[in-house]
Amino acid sequence: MTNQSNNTNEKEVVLRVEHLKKYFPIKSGKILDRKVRHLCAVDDVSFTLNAGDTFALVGESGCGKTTVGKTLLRFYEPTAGSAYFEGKDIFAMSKEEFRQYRRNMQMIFQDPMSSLNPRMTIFDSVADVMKLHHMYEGEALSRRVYELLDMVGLPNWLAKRYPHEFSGGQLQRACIARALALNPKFIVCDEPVSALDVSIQSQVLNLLTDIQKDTGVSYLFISHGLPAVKYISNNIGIMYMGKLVETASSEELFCNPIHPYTQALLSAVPKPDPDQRSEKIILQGEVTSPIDPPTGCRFASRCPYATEQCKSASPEMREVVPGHFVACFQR
Amino acid sequence: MQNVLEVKNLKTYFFTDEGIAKAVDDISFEIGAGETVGLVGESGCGKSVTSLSVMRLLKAHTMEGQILLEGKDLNNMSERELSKTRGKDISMIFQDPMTSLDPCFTCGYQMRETILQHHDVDKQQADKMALELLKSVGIPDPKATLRRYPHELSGGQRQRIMIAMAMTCNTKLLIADEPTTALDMTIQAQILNLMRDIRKEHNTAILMITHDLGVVAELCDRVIVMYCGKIVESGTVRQIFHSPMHPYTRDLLASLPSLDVKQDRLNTISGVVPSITALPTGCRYHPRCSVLCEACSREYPEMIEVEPGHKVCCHLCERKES
Repeated sequence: MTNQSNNTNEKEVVLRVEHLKKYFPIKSGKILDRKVRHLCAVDDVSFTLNAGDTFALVGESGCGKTTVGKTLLRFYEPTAGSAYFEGKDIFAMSKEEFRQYRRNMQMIFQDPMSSLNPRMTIFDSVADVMKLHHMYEGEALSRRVYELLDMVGLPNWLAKRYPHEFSGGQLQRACIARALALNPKFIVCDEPVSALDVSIQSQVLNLLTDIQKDTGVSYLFISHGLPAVKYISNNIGIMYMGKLVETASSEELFCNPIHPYTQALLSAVPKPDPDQRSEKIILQGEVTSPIDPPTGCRFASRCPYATEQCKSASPEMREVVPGHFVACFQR
Repeated sequence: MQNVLEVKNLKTYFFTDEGIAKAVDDISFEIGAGETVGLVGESGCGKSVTSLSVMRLLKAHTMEGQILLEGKDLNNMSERELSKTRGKDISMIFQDPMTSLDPCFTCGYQMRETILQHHDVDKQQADKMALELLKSVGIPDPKATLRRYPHELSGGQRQRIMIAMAMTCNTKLLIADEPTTALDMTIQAQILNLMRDIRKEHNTAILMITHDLGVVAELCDRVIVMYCGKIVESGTVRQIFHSPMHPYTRDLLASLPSLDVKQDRLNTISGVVPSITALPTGCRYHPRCSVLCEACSREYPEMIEVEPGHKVCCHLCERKES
C-alpha cells in the first residue's frame, strides 16, 4: 500500500480542489427577495486527482457529490474555494477563457436518454461538439466520429440513428464517445451506470477503464454504488451533507474504514451471497436538511459514538494512516 | 408447507403496434406460507407485469392462467370481490413511495381510509390503529406524522408508511415491487430490517421483486430468475447463488462487481436484452449465451428439476441429466 501511494505521488496532478464551497441561497419575503438562509450543498471540500487516475465521490442522495462535479465544470459558480486544473485556477478565469479551456473537461451524465438531443442522430450529437470547437471539418470530421464510435463499441451502421432507437447501454456509450470527442484530460462521470441494467453496467465500467488505459484520461467518478466504485477508482472520498468525511486509496478504504459513517455505508451494501448475511450497522434516523446545518459534526445526530464535543465543534480532516484522512473526533 | 399463492401458466400479452408483446409468457410458481420469494431479472423481463397481474391491476389484452390465492382464483373474481381481497389478503408496496401516496391528503387520512375499508371500526378506533401501525414500523413521532402530508416526509419514512398501510390487515401475501430501489443505502438497510421483523412477527409471505441480487441474497428463502417473460431458473437462495445452473443466472452473478476482491476486469454479458415484440426463436437467451448448443436456437427448452426444489430451463442441463 505504501508502494501505491509512492507511485501516485510521482504522477502528475491534473486537478487540485481546495476548500470548495457552494451555497445556494434560499430567498424568502414577499416584496424583497431577501436571502435569508443557505443550502450548504458543498462545504469545504478538498482533494487532488492525478493524471490517469480515478477519484470517486461516494455518498447518499443530497450529499452534494453531483454539485461538486457541476461546480468544477462551472455549471454553477462556486461560492468560495479554488480548483487548479494543470496548475491554473479555473475559477479565476473569465467565462470566455474558460469556455475555450473546457474542451479539456467533459461530463457524462446519469441518464443518457435525457442528455442527448432526441432530434439529432448519434452522429450529429458527437460531431456537434467538434464543430463547435472547430477541431475537424468535412471528411476528417466524419472519420473522427466513426473512430470515436468504434472506440466505444458502437457499430458504424448505428451512427445515423436517433436516440430513441437505442438501448440505455448503447446511449451511454454514445455519451462517452461525445465526451471523448475533444480529447479531454478530465471527465466527470456522474453516476454513469446507475440507470443501466446489471448486465450492461459491467460492460460500461469495463469500457471506461479501457479508455482510461488508452488515453490516460482522469475521471471524477460520482456514484453511490460501492462495488462499482471499488472496481473503477484509485482514490475515494466519502461525502456526508456537503463535507468530505473520509478519503483514502480504494484498497485502504475498503479494508480499513475508519469514519462511523463509512463503516455503516459499507456494511449496508447487500452482498450477493446468502451465507454472508452479516450483522449490519443500522443507522438511526435519516439525513437531515442541509439548510443551515448544525455547527458540530453533521453526522452527529445519527452517529452511535457521538459525544458533546461532536455536537459543538466541527472535526477537521486528520491523517490517521499515511494517505488516509478522516474527519472524526472519536477516531 | 401450505401454499399461499399458486400461479399456474400465467400469460399476460399486450397487443402493440410492433406486434404482440409477451410480457409474461406461461409462467408457474408458488409461494408457501411465511416464505420470502425473490423475483429477479433485468428491466423489461416481466417481473413487474407478473406482480401487477397477480394483483389484477392490469388491463392486458390477454390474461390467461390461474392465480390461486389460498385456493381462490383471482383471475375469475369480480371487481367487487377483488377490492375486498386486495389490501386484506394480498397487498403491495411500490418502488416510488411518493407517487403511490396521494399528495392531497394527510398520511393519517389515507391510512384511516384503508382501515375503514377492511375493519368494522369507527374513525376514532381507526386512528388509534393507524397510530399503532406507525409505531410498529418505527416512525419517530407517529402522532405528528399522521397529520403530515407525504411531501413533508423523507423517502424512507414514506416507504415505512406504505408498509404500515400494507400491514393493516395482517395480509397473508405482501408483494414488494423494488421497495428499496429509490432509497439510499443506509435507508435500504433500515427498510430491509423492517421487512424482516414484519415477516417474523406476522408470518407474512413476501414476493420480493428486485433487480438487486444483493437484496435477494440478504432477505429471500427462494429465488425465481426471469428473462424475457419466462422463468429460466428457480431454487433456494443457496442453490441459485452457490450452484447456479442456467447460463443467464451464472453470467448475471459473475458480472457483479465484488466488494471483497479488487478485480482487474469485470465479466460481462455480451449483447442486449431483446425487445419483447421481437423475441429470438428457441431459448430467448441463446443470442447472448456463451455455452449454447444447436438445439438452443430451434426449440424452447423444458423446465426440468435438476435437484429437489431446483428447476432450470436449459437444453444443456437437460442433457447432463439424461
